[in-house]
Amino acid sequence: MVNPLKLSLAPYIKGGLRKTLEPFAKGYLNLAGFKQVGLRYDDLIQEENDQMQKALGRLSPREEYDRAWRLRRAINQSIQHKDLPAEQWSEEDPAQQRYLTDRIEQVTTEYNERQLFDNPEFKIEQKHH
Amino acid sequence: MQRSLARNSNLKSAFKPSLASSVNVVFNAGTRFEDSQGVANVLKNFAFRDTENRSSLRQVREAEAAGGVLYSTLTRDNLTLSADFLPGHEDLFISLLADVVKSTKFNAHEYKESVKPAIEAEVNAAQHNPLIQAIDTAHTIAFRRGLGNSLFSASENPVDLQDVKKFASKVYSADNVAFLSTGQSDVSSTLSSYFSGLTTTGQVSSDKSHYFGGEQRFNLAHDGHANPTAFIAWGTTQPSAAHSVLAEFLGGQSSNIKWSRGTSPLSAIDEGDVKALNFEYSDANLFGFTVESNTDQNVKSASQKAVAALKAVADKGVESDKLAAAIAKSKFNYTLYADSAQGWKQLNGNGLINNNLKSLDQVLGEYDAVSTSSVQQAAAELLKNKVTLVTVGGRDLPYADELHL
Repeated sequence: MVNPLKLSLAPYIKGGLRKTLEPFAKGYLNLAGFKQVGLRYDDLIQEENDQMQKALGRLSPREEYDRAWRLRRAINQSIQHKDLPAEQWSEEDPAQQRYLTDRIEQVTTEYNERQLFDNPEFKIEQKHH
Repeated sequence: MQRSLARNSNLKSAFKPSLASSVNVVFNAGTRFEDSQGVANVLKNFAFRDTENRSSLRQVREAEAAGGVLYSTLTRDNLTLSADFLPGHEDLFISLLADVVKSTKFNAHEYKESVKPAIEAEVNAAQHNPLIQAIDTAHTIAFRRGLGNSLFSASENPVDLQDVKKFASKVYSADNVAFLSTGQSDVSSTLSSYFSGLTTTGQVSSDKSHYFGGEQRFNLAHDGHANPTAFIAWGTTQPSAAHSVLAEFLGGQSSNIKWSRGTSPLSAIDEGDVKALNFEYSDANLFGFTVESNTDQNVKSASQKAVAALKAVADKGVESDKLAAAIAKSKFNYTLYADSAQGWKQLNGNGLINNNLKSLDQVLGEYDAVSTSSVQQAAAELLKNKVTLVTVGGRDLPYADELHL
């Protein structure tokens, strides 16, 4: 199913494989460079679609403000070609990095449910005479 | 009125045989029980939203697929959740109603995305109807808080979602509910199995009503096609059958015969459309005239004539044959109302929850007991109270002292 979260292998990589891959994942996240300008992972998700707009609409006023502030600060840092001082890098805490994911999933579930109801498959039972 | 009462140990319910089925869950949760302003209206609009078992969309689509309608209605006394449907789907619709009562999620995003727009549309529609606006405001200035609470949830007084949840957990309780069903067979056993887990938090109560009275003037919304309107009313805290008969006697311009204006005192007023109404509640009533016409000046003179008609009853009484006709019409209208789907729900729901259900014969007996002297006395008592006057329109509409009271 295509949704704003795109494809992810995360649910399939569990147990031992996860342990082996985790250092590479962390390395990749650090190399990606968004943490260094104060952005969180969910700030990077493409927002030019209906589902994402709906999910963003469900942020609290505080969360909305903070998101806009992080984006503006990151743009500013990018213009200056400078990273923020290390204490201002975004947090390691996965709950904070993925602050929007639960709402995107909520919207996606609603969207999929509507798709399902708009295109119902009626099962007609065969009657034997 | 055909009715059989099936009383389970803890379930108040009534059943009426009919071709189409309906299940109505009536709560003592009307606006008069509100603890924060507008909360009952928000709760009404939160019916059939996301629950633990079904999303809002699923409820609607399931109802559509089975051939049914879901709706919620709010009065000053009661909040009613209703489902009308084809017989054979009792299980689906009763489980759906139970879901709504027991496990509505009260999501913040739903409040913002669908509940608030629905409330706003309701308020907007009400404000563009001068009659609704006048009568709603008249209740507020007549009875102030409690019974006087507005039926609408104005955006000037936003309701906090926490207050809605608190109100819901208070009123959605087993002591506060009556079940009214119509259909081909009694469904009280299905009802009691689905609604078994309702909490018992005690019956809600509201303050006893007092009558105050006063005046309020509004401008007419100019983007509609509405006429200047006045609502002139008097309240009492002792509602009696004489008030209904008095309203029927004074009448209006709609008679029971097509193309005829009727012969009632109010039908003789040429300047505007005047109608006598009696709003009856459990512990109070509001008796009044709605006056509508094309100009402010006409509303003013029609209002003066309407008040004069009431004063004539108070001073001179009524002729006994005219009274007999008014009593007959009151009895007919009540019977018709009690037989209609809406009336049956309204009368039985409130009566069952509060244990003061009156039989049809009892009510008709009260009408029969009305005499010329009791009508005259009722009119005189009303006029002793301070008038409640709400006008919607321009500056030429009457002030209370211009009504020759």
